[in-house]
Amino acid sequence: MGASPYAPDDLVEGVLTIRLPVAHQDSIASELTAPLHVATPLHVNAMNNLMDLLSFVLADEAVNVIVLRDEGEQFGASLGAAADTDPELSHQLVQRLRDLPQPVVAMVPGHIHDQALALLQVCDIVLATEQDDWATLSFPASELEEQTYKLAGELASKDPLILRFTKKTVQQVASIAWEDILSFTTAQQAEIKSLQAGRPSPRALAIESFLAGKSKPGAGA
Amino acid sequence: MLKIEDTPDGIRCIGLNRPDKRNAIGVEMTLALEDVLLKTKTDSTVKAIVFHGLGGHFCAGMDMKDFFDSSTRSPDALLRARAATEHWRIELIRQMPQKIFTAVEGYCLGGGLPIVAASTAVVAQREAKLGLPEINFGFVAGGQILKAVGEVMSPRGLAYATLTGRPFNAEQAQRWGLVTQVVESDPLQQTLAIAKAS
Repeated sequence: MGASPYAPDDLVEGVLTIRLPVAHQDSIASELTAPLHVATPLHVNAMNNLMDLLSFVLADEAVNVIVLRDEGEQFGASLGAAADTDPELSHQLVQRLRDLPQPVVAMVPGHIHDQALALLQVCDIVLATEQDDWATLSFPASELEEQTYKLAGELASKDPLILRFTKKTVQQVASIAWEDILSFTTAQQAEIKSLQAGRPSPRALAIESFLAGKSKPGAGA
Repeated sequence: MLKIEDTPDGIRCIGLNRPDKRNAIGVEMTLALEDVLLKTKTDSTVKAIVFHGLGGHFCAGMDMKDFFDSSTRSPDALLRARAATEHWRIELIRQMPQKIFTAVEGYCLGGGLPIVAASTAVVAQREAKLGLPEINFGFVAGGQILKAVGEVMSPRGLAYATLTGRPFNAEQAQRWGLVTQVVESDPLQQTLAIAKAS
């Protein structure tokens, strides 16, 4: 792999911040009417860049957790603009985000664009200032960023393999029939065991620590 | 391990009774749960089932020490206990002819949640702490537990609980669909009242 595609402060201790492109409301209309030599609209370029970035993140073991944010006024507005020009691209973007093995935490400090709903649906956790169906938890605006990075940091401190398998299990269980659920779990445990071969089992260590009274994982610590 | 009482109006109260372990489900308790559900299933005198925990907690989940790395049980005993666990939580509890009602106070974690998920109504005391802390122990919560919980809990809540391993309170559990009613005092009285009226 070549140089890191991330801005210097965007990857901190396993937490990668990804910013959605900020929407430029005036960039589309005139270009749509021009038949030839049309420059690709800015936000479509930005979305393509984001697609490339996500492909890189997908395979980057240094990234344990992603924080998705939007510096614009409306969360996901640029995605909305891109969807108007190139619906297929915006669809692919949502799919690529869903396919990331790392948990994605969206930080939504205000209103969302209609098109952002599909995007938020594939984020694992959504922290917002508004208590709405699409939000997991809500906080006052002054606390949102701190709470988001606190949660992301907590996730990044967990065993990365277990974190990824947990995300996958949550995504898949609803579509697995009850009669198949036990073989699913058994197969998954075997896969984890083989991937963990040669390193100390985090489960054994965690249980040892719990039994010694050093930690209380059930109490969230 | 279980305190089983039948009321005159046909309600079978099943109390998880291992208070010194916060009612964690160990080998004996899981065998007892399979047994009582099997017997209750065909007992036409039982009109409804009420689950609760003795000693201030509903259930701290599966007993890690008894089931996992540090277990002193024989392989045969463990095999039998694991089979019993999957039997009651994947099949029996989801297919009981009677409605199930559950009273939750204190801890209600991991392996205790399939009981909650199979319940028609769940009354939780406000200070109850629910959660799926498996990830904090370094393992993935069983698909069978997540599937059961996911049938009643919002996908958002399920992802949050499993990925963070953080406990959440009764009010949050109600918002996410896992709990029906939040009460200030003993949840068992209210649960019995609901079961009687059902």
